[in-house]
Amino acid sequence: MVQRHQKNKMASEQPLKKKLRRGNSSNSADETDFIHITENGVANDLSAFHLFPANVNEDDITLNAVNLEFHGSKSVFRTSELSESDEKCIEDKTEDDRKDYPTSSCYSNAHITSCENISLQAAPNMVICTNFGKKNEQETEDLNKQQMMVDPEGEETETFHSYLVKQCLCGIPDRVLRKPFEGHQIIDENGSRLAMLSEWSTQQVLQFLSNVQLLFDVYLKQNNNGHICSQIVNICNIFVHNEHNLVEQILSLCETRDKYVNYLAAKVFSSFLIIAKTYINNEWLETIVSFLTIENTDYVKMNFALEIIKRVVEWKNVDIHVLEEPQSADVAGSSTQNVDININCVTVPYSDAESYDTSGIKGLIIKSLESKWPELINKVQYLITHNSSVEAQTCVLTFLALWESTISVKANLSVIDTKPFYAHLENFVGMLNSNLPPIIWKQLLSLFNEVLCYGSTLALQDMLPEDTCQLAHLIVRYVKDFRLLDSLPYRRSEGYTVNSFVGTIPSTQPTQSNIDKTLLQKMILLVLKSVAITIKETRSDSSDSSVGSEDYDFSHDMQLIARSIRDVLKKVDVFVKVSLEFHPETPFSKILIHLFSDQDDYMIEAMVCTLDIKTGISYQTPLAPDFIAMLNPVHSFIEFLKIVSHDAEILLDYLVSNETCFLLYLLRFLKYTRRNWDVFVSSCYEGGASRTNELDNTMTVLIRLKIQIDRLVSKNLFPYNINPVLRLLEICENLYEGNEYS
Amino acid sequence: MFAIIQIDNDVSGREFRRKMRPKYEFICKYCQRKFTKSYNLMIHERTHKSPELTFSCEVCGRGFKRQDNLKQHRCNQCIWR
Ligand SMILES: [Zn+2]
Ligand SMILES: [Zn+2]
Repeated sequence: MVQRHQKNKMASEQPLKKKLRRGNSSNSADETDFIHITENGVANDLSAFHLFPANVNEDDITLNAVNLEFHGSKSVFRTSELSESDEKCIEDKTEDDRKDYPTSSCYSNAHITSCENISLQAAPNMVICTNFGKKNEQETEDLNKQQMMVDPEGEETETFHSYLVKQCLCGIPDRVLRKPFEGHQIIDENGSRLAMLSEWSTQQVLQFLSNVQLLFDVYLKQNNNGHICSQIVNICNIFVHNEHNLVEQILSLCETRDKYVNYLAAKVFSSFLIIAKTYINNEWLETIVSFLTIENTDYVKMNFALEIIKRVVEWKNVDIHVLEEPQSADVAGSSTQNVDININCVTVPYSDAESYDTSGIKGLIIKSLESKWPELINKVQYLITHNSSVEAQTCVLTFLALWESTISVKANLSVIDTKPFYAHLENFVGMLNSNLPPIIWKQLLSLFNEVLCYGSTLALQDMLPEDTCQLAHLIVRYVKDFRLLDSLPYRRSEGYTVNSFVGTIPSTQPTQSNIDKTLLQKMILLVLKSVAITIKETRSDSSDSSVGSEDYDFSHDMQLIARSIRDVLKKVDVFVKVSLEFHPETPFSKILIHLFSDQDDYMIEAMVCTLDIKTGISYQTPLAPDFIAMLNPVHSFIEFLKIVSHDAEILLDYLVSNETCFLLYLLRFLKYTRRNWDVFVSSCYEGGASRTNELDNTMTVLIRLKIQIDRLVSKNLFPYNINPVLRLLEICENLYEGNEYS
Repeated sequence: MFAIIQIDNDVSGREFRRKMRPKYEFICKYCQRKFTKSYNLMIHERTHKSPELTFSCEVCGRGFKRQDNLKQHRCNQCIWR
């Protein structure tokens, strides 16, 4: 059994969003976002469990993750991808600790590009520098009480922690190694015995959980690097073999009503599952999923279970093994430069692909979830309509985020395993009405947008899954016939604020913005995807039927569809113009680009949709001139180039990264341009834009892009086969220069 | 349309049916979704992957996903850049 576990191998722990930061952040010590502590002696006592030395680099997410997450941090990289922290925000914001959200610049990472923001919230017993006051004194008192209970074993915990920060437990005395896991002696009526975790003080439990989380983080990070410190392997085995019944004890912590303990316990438990993989006791999973459907709903337990499942599902394997990665990877760089690494560390190699694989545990947890799914769906539907308490709504939001993660392409789950989760979606479309809180609207729209994974998947497939198409039809119908757009609560009403991370939430504080732009963006993108899918489905149905006699029906169908699509897009056009106060004459292509200007992934996916709608609908179907003008892909591209300042390097970045579907967009746009060169040229001159020559401007960018791609390709640096794009760029260049091409 | 749905539901018969319907030659190794063109599959599979580090600092060797990140980056050795 030990053998089996020894073979286990996993990728680094960073969920995708954090992973992104590795590449983004630069590498200097001044980026650490450590917490500032007042000088009342608190710092010493707390440093052991969540303060890292100043020289631990910010980049080194593994180390800071505990720190950040412990403080309920909202590590947000895109306003659209907030699912993880949404529910915590609501929960926190409605309490009177709102003031604890620091605005001072010392908490933000000033260094990084636009897409990063971190805000920290004070944890219990933590005092942030902006937060002097009465709360402070009381917390010091609490702390003194706790200190009296901390026995001398606390020292071992501290030593343990200091070794962990150096990412090696070699040389640590065995007594110290095991002590933090054996617990504290307590004396009760039965004499002296070891206390259960649940009997520890809050501070001790938090300290313990933080250390365990850090242990797991180090394990997973080293696992990703191919070698794990042998002592770290040993201590993780203690967990996996469930010595001291630690697993059950951590699970039992969901009984505590301390939200920090709950939060951390869920995080630790999900990391545990990822390390243990399928070497687990099935009862643990059963216990977790049983929390989802307790008859007298226990919201704390329900949310605890949802969080654990969500974290496991969202776990992102690093698919390039570090041994195959160029030496340049910053993984090693950041830690070696700033933290003393024990060069005498005895490591165990972990490099076989099988041990990397989390699909086993993901599959197990999805199966467990599936068994409760119909019951859970009913419960959540009931909660949405009948229970507006913060606890219930928090569960609803976590549930919806979990649902979204489960069906997300990025979860890397098999489409066969996730098929059951595509049922019931339609019930939730019916719930989109003006009585639904904006924050649940937002989460539902995110979910539907994830189901209609157009740019990443559906646009590339010939046959679309039926359940996905049904959702798209329903959305189109609701927009056309049931005024779905008009019920979108994008305007802030009295007593609400539009938080740029979370969306519209209750608040007494006034904000500048009166509209929730994220809601608008999600809604419009959803409609565009639904339309594109509807058209694509109609076309592929027809191309599949080789019988000639059906051709008439197809063309008739297409005309009907074209008419309703035109109707829907006109509604979208008017709706966006009214909500963003555009002049009624503004071209549709322009308003779309501006609606999505701060959200590049949406913008580019919207561009793919309109391009596909245009090419799909005009196929065999004569269109009204105003409709053709509305969907002109060249106008959209010209507007898009303005947004990126005609900078070819930005386009190259989009191509190289996989954060947007720009590769697909560019490929299709260039194909369209090649096929419709005359339209391209004339569109560049029309639109009444200005007297500037958009043809030259556009072609200059494309030719520069071609040169840049060429350069990377010649150095063998382009991460995938870009030749189809390169060839199309050459063809377009030749057309531009009036040359013949073959 | 109908035949495709059957394939989705029937895992065991997949091997056999794939031969019958050579249309779906390209299957995503992450999620088992089916594609008819290999380049489309490649585009799709990129979604499953972690971002590649394509741009690297010539001084310290650190890799970045984006050129602008590389330009903004400052490391001990290349602070003078
Ligand atoms: Zn070691
Ligand atoms: Zn896939």
